[in-house]
Amino acid sequence: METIKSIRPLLCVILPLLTIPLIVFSRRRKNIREFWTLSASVTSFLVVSSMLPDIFAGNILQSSSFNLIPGISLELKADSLGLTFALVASFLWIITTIYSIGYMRRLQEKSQSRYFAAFAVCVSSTIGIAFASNLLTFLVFYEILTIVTYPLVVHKENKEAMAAGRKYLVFTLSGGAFLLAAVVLTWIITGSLDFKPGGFMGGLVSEGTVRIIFILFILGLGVKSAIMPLHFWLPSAMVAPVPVSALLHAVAVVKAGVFGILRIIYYVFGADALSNAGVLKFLAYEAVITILVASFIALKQDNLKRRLAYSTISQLSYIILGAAMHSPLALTGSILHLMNHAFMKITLFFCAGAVYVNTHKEKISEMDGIGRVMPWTMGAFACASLGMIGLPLSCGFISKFHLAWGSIEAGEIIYLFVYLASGILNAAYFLPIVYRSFFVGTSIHERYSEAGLTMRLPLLITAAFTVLFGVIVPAINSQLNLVDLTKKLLFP
Amino acid sequence: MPAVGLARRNLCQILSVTALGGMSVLAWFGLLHVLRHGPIHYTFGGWTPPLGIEWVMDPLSSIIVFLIAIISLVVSIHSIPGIKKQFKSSSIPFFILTLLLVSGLAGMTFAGDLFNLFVFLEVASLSGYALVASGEGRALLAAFRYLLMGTVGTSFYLLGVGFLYAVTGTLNMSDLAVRLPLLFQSKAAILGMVFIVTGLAVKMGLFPMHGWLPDSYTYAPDSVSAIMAPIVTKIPVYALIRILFWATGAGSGSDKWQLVNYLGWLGVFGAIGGSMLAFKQINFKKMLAYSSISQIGLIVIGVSIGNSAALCGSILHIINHAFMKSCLFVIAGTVFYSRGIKNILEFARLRHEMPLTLTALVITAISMIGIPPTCGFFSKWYLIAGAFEAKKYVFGSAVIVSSFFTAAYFFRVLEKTFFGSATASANMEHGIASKTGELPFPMLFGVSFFAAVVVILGLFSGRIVSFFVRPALPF
Repeated sequence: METIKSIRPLLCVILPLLTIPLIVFSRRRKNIREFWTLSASVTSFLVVSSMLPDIFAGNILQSSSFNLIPGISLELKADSLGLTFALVASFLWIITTIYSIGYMRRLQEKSQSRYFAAFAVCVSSTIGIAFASNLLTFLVFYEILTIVTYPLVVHKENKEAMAAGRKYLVFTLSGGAFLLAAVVLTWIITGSLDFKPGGFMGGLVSEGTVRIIFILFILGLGVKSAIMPLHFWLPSAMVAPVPVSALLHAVAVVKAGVFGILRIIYYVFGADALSNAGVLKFLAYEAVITILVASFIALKQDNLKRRLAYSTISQLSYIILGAAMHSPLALTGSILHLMNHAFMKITLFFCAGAVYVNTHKEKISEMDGIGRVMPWTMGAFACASLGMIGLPLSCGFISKFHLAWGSIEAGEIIYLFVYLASGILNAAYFLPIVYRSFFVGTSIHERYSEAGLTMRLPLLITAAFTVLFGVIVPAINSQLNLVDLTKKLLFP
Repeated sequence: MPAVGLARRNLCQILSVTALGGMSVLAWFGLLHVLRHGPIHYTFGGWTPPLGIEWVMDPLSSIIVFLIAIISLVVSIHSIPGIKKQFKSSSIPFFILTLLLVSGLAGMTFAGDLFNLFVFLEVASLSGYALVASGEGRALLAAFRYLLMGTVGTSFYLLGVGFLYAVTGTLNMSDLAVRLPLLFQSKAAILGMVFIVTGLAVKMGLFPMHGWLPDSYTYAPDSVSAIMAPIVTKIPVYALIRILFWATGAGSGSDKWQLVNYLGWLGVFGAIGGSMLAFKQINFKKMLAYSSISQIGLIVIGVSIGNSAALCGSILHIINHAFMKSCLFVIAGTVFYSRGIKNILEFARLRHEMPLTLTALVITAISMIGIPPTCGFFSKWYLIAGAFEAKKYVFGSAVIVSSFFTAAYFFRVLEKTFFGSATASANMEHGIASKTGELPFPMLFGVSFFAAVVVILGLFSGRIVSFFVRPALPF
């Protein structure tokens, strides 16, 4: 394994930021403005994927810059885990941009320039989080992400949105405060902040201290990853425009929290030190509770976006549980689910948005027969739902299979049952929607039509990916290979 | 200056800006020289220190003087368009008093003995009282209150100096540093220190001795509060650091006094209480004033902890906060000058009219909250690190909690500004005949200069700490 100096990780973070002045300058000309966003997203995806061969060759790309505090610099490092997350985020940014254009224009939303600018910063900081090579850099991007998501959450500027925005800030900023305390403590105690496979804290710190710092970290990162009871902001934040909920509240922001937890467990403490201190089990139980409770709450939601939000909360804890099991297979499943869930959930949100734009319906009870007027949209929805349930031939199956297998490997049969039970609950809250939209109701919806191309195309692409990663063997394998790199690194 | 003023009123302004410009240049080269070749000692009239008056220019004092110079320079450039509006015919006293204030503060910073410090403290204070009183309406009352409390503060300080002189027989700081540690058990020395610290605490507006601060900042003319708010309260903190760590050695190590620990608690109450009070204000400048009280609390927490990380945080926060506060007050001045708005609730009107000013507001607000990569984050980082290192978890958490409250009151402003209801702002439109169009260049320059500095100080924080702040630490 070799560390190569390269500007590419830094480039991926800077590229989206460069669009901001361009967006601001061309705010009067919509098409040019959107062209900037689109080209930035495509370029940054290309740059991110250009690093793949190096990563597969077993190298790490690193770009450092100046010192933030003496001894610790703002440093970006593309390793296999970080690249996985960055790939997902930057690819889905392209798709979401196309979708946003359709969505925002159709609804004639105001302040679109602010929207696209904030979006670009969000993606930039998400990639920054993925590539951060030490805790301080991570913290910097994590906090930026917190702040720039705020204008997106309150985009509608009505009372409800403002209330949701405040709630969002209270939760995420207090999370940030805990995270800051944890990072400072880590620095004081170990004198180091650099992520290292297997952790750098093992042996340096007593078990009691490990417990305290880990709990501080979980309180900090748990807000974004919506571990119960820190999840309250997420359902309220669904007042944001649909593309925001889709990319940020299903992929970037929440996954940043989960990704942080992965980093903390495997690159800061080391899973051994954590399981010796007994806190890993605590995290696992916390995740189990979240999975089950959130699924039950999701059953009762009539607002489609809120149901999806609770489903997100439950699925995020899948990933956390997989990470907390301390088994190689479960870790594989966990990282796979980080990718697959992103594709599935973004499809579901895109569909919800398409339905909203065309019919102004948000409630599930009003969606009878909608599948017959919007067959493509609801077909994609059905496809992604089946993935969420974890049926074979869907990408959800592959990741859940690894997670379940991992729980057997870890000798924890309870977790296996939790995954199975949650699959059934998923079926219970997703299938009725599919059923209603296709088989219930008469032709009352004839005045509505299928979504426009800019919205239909993105959701079909992501839906296609959910199938691709579940059926096509080369696709599954390439995904697995990437994850294997991380697994081999952490479980040599 | 009065002579020039009598001849040509406009010349005054040029003269004052030139003087401050020259001071900034000198301070910058002084700073570089000191960092390279070590401290400069200057004795007045050739009388050597124990008898004569000594000025010391070491890394810490030269940083602070540069800070004073650059901030007063940019603020006075910024206030060029607003002066006529604020002072009408009496602008000449403003320039004189400002320069007097600046030289008083610089004198306090360089002073090598306690009495000399007192003299300059009085110079700065008196010009401060007069400057506040030059405002309209309630400014006179505020100035009187400031005068009363300020005088009590300086008297306390002088009393303390008297006690120390009685015990040690010297006023020179480096002499004190030798003699005082032997006398730490002496009641007179302890009492003297208590008086000195109390006096300085009044001057810096440390909770609960902050009563004079909010009104004076609020009702003083905008150009005055923009100069006073960032630096006037910082210099007593600097004096405190100087006395605790250089002159007496009571701030750290084995000789650390219990008194200093108590001071930290005042800092905690100030940091949290100040930000809670700030949340309730609807006058923008008053909110900023309470925010100052809270930030002074943070700096004092760092001084009280007294290890190298925490003290580094304090000094960094003196620098950072000075720039942030001047940016905020300059914004307040700009907004009032061009739109006649003081009230936070009316800020919604600015949304489409003053994009540049508002960008500066957002940047500074984020920095005040302590979000990286702006400079506010890094000073808080060192403060928290110092607190945790010294195992003072309460102090560390207080810093975190206070930044949380800071977030609350700044997001209140941002929310009102960017997402405030359009109807409320439409009503206001009729009330005040507002000038539209671009801002005058000096104002634009002031606002964008400070906002840029806030970001640059954050991004290059690592270098600034290792190049400037570390050499300034007493350890």
